[in-house]
Amino acid sequence: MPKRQVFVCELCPKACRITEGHSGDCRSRIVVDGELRAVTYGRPCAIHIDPVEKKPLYHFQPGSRIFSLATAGCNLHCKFCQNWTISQLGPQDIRNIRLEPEEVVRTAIAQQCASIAYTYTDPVIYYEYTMDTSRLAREKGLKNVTVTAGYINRKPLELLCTVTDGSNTDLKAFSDAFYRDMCEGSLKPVLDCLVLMKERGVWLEVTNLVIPTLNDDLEMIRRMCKWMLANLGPDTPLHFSRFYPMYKIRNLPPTPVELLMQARQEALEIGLRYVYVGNVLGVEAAHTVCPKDQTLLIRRTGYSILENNLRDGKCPTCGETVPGVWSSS
Amino acid sequence: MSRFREWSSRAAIGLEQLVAGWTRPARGNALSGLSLRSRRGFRFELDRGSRVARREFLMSLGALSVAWRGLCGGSDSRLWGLSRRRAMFVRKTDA
Repeated sequence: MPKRQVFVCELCPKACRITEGHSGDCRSRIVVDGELRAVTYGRPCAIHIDPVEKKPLYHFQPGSRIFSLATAGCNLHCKFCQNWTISQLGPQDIRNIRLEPEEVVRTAIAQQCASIAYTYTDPVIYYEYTMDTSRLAREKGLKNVTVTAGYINRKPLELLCTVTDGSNTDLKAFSDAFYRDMCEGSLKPVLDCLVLMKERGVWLEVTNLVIPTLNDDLEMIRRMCKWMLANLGPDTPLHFSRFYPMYKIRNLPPTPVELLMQARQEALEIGLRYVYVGNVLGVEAAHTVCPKDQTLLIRRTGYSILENNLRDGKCPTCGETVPGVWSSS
Repeated sequence: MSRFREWSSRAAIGLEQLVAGWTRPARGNALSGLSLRSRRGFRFELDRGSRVARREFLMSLGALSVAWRGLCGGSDSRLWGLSRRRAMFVRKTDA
């Protein structure tokens, strides 16, 4: 009896073993005709033009437009996923459009976008599409941004870093048990991803969605901030994001704003210099302030920039350099 | 491939799709209000909110249509309208 061939997908730590006719855990990589196919290549299910602040990226071309796309599926299965109607489906179950990388770049330029975001679900699962589009975008002077959970193996990530300019990566909790029980993943690959992106010069911002009772323990948040300080440095922006009941976690209330403020205060005291509160309208914690003399540098409300006082990436009063990608060149 | 093997292969893929549609993570059986999750052993949990249940019921209908495609056309039919781009970072091995 002939042996059945198995394809081991080495893109993410799940290392799915896939046989003919089947898909990996992400639902977007299927074995057909003796090959593993990236079936969502050039078939996005979501396209929008967003303000870059929505990613959220606060130190990356503020106020610019970013062409954002996603394909169906995800390699994690977070019970609180905010985009579960596209991330927890296979590409066969959803309406996709045909948009090859050349058309993505052409459309982004026509729409006066400064960059392209691979977002909403996770660019890891449409890796080939992200790579090809990013290469073309670079050639045309656009920047590339990944919004990801960072659940990816080292080798593919190294290659991805060569075409990525910025990333907002989720650090969902500083707990392996949380990743296992709530996301069907694990913590270590995410930490490794963050460190590697920083090493490779990708502009990195980190988002932590604070969910009441599940990952809101201040002691755990303190440990996370200390790890960030030691491994990513004090200048990596951290966004504490407010949770709203979603998908399978509808029994919990939205995160109390006071708790987010408390988490932010802890992070600042530990030594992180740029800590924001997101998903909350009209709070001062959304503004960028000079860590040296407290001058207001960028004033925001929602996804809008109300005031930008930075001069060539520096504080206008004390001249302190504020790390980030401030120009489109 | 003999006609029997071809059809049995198609039927197997169709059945797999049908089962996967009802049991894979984040899919739920809306009719019973239970979500059957298969990844680390079987585990039952209550779905919260009828909107999720309704949505997951529709997802299950989507899975049924994929099963029908599998029965009619084998594994190739899973790619209707989708890309055939070869994936990167793959290793082949024997079962």
